[in-house]
Amino acid sequence: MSRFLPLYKREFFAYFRAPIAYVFIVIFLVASLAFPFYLGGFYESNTASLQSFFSFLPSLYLVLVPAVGMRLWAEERRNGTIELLFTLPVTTTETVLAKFAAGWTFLGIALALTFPIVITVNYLGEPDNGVILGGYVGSFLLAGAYLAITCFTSALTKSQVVAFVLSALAGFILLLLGWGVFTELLAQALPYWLVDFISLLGFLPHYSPINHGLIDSRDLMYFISFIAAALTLNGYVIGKRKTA
Amino acid sequence: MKRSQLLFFFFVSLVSLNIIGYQFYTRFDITEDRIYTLTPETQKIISTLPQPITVKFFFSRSLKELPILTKTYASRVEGLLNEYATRSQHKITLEVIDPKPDSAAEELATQYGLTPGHLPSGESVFFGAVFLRGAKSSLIPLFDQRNEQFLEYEVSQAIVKLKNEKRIQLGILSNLPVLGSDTPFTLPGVTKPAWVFAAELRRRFDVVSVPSNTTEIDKALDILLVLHPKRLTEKTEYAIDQYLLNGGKVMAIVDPFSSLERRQRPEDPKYLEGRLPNVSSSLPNLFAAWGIEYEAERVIGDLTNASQVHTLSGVESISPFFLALNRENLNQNSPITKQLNHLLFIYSGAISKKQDSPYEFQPLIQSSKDATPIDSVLASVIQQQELAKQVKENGGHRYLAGLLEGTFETAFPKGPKEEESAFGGRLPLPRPGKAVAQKLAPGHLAKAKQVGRVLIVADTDFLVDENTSQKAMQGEHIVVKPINDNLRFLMNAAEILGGQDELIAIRGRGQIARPFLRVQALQKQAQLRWQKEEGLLSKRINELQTKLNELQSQKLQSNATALSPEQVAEVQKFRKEEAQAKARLREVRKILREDIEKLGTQLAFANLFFVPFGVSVFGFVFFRRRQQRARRRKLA
Repeated sequence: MSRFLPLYKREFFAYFRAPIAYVFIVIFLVASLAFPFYLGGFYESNTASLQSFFSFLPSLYLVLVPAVGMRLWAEERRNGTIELLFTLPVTTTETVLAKFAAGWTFLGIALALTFPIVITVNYLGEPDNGVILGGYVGSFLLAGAYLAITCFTSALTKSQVVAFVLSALAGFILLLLGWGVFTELLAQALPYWLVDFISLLGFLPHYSPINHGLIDSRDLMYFISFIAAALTLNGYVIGKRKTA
Repeated sequence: MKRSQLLFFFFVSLVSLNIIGYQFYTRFDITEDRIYTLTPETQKIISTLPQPITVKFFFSRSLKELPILTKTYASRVEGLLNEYATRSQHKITLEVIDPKPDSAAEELATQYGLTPGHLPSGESVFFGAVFLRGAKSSLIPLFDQRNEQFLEYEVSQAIVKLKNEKRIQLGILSNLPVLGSDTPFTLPGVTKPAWVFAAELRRRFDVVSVPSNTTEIDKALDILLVLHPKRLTEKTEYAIDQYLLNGGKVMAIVDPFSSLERRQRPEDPKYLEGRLPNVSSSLPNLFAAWGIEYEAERVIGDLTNASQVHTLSGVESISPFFLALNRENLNQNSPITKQLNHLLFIYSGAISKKQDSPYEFQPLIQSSKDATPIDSVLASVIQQQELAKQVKENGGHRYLAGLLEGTFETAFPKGPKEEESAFGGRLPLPRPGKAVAQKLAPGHLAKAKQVGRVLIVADTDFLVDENTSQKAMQGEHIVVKPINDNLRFLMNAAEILGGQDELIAIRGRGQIARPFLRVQALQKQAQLRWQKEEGLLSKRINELQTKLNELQSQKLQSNATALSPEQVAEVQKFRKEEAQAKARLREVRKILREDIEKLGTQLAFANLFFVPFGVSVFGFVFFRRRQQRARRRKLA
């Protein structure tokens, strides 16, 4: 695994060499902080909690995370540097993990830079900081899940745009699966246990409890399994290209 | 291909792992209030159960149109009940039942007394639990998601009900229809429901009504709650006195000004006579004997704990008589108050113990140091805003509630006096000159044989429904949600007095709300500023008005037909000043809101600007340096 670290560093710093990274962070910060203030009624609610902040993240990630991950594989394929990558004495697994980890760290940094709102809410009142911590843990995992999808779609195509669209679409479906109105529609046609199962495939039923401060091993397992599954698909596709 | 087969197996195993994980899981509660973990007090309750308890959890899981929020809440409830079962060392067993329509299980649910909720489509949803111990049972008829933070309390309460052999007997002595009324004056079949606090008491204790003209109080009662006692006969006070000396516990809730009563008696004939009805209550003989000082005509105004009031015209103002009490007003050493956070007292009085009283007085609730007692008669007639001006800063702390303890002596050493008859004439008295040996009933106690306790609270409005909870309709049911800790305060006190205080710590969990304290502080500051300005401006306007009137009357007296030019000029000047003052008043009102909005804007700006700006600068600098390095390399 000693080859993982240099790979990871390469990928991670690659983010910061392009201006797009800074643009992304600024857009993410402005959007994620503007929504609660101007759409979510954070200040008017007179409640010392960051629920209005966290509730917008799933929708925000839907659009922004694919923008972060779309270049991971698609760019290399387009530039042809992917062949170079294959000649290096690194396994597919290491490359897949390194790229994902780099993207995830980047998203983690962007998330951490939202700290002003934590300071704000603590200045205004006395929130439950345990719940807020839970919200950040959940958001970080959620970002990882979205990113894993994007890694997979990025490996499928040379075009970053296609990767973006596919990833956003997949994310949208997964978001929808856990959404109340949709599951109620499903329930008209399908037996209840199937509907329950399907809705548990979605993000929200697993994101929501962590958001409220309850870290359930089942939800952790969901996110880890999901990321593992998506990255495995990612590796599978790359492996095929390698041997092709 | 072998690889795709591997992939397939991998996915199947992931899914299976998750499905298995659904049965065997653990949870970590990282909330500050620990709302998802069992408190140590609950732990104690369930590990000391004398007999096993079965919990039947009914939830209509398979109903088609069940909203997802209800489903997720139900799984949290089941999770919590599971926690109870796992940590009870096999004393608690949990059964999960899905009462499908027209099934035996549904009949069972109805038999037990579970009340179904209703979906918009009309279907019934069962979502409750029955706790069984032998032949005894206790019930949570319907779990309400809005009271999620009290979930553990509800469950532990149901278990405690089963655990204790004996339920506390609580008697309520009051003229207020707290237990619901079925009086001859209402239409038959129309019953007014019991007050929320009484319903809450009923859930925990066996509650009976004690007539307010009673002459003897059943010794079997563990607690006597005397609520708003108005001019009790000496015989009734004597009955309370003897009950206390015989080991009974008393909760004496009095009030110098019951705003409830005040609102409800506009048709009282006394109004028509120009007199104000008395809306106060007291226990004069008992308080005197106990060494308790209580002024039944004075209400407490407190500038620091003043809270918002919505007046009839929809205008919000801050009244120093609506006391919003916080932790700093509550005794942190008493189990009754130490876990409470917010109480609301309205037009409360104050109590204190005289120096020479032999009993111990533990204050439970006190005002801030900016409290002033105001004559309650004024409170009836003067506009609230006028009255508020009489409240001064640094008036000193006042106690609003406390616990009196000691070996009590009777307040009626010679027994109670005979009272005037209803017709105003005195009952025949013995001829003057002859001493009457007042006969004391056998069993009269002059002094208690054990230490007694009395809770004294100087406000009754804190128990009125609109001041304790919010009611909302959920389908056909009215769901009640507490808006502060008033109910908790009463329940804690009753449990401490009754000696079954296992639930107090659990009840204290889960803060009601976490408001923006800084915004509230700003509002209060602004309101005080405004009141000062408004006072000055109103005074000015009044002065101008008086002057104008004077001019008018001068004119009349001098029999002039018109005003002289000087007078006209004066009138114009006054009118102008009046308009200016009124405009200023409106402006001051606007400024009130602006400060708060300004804070919001500043915060939004700070959040949206600083870090993104920092990142942009960082990025910019970073790129400049790279460019420079690249240029240098080119030149080299």
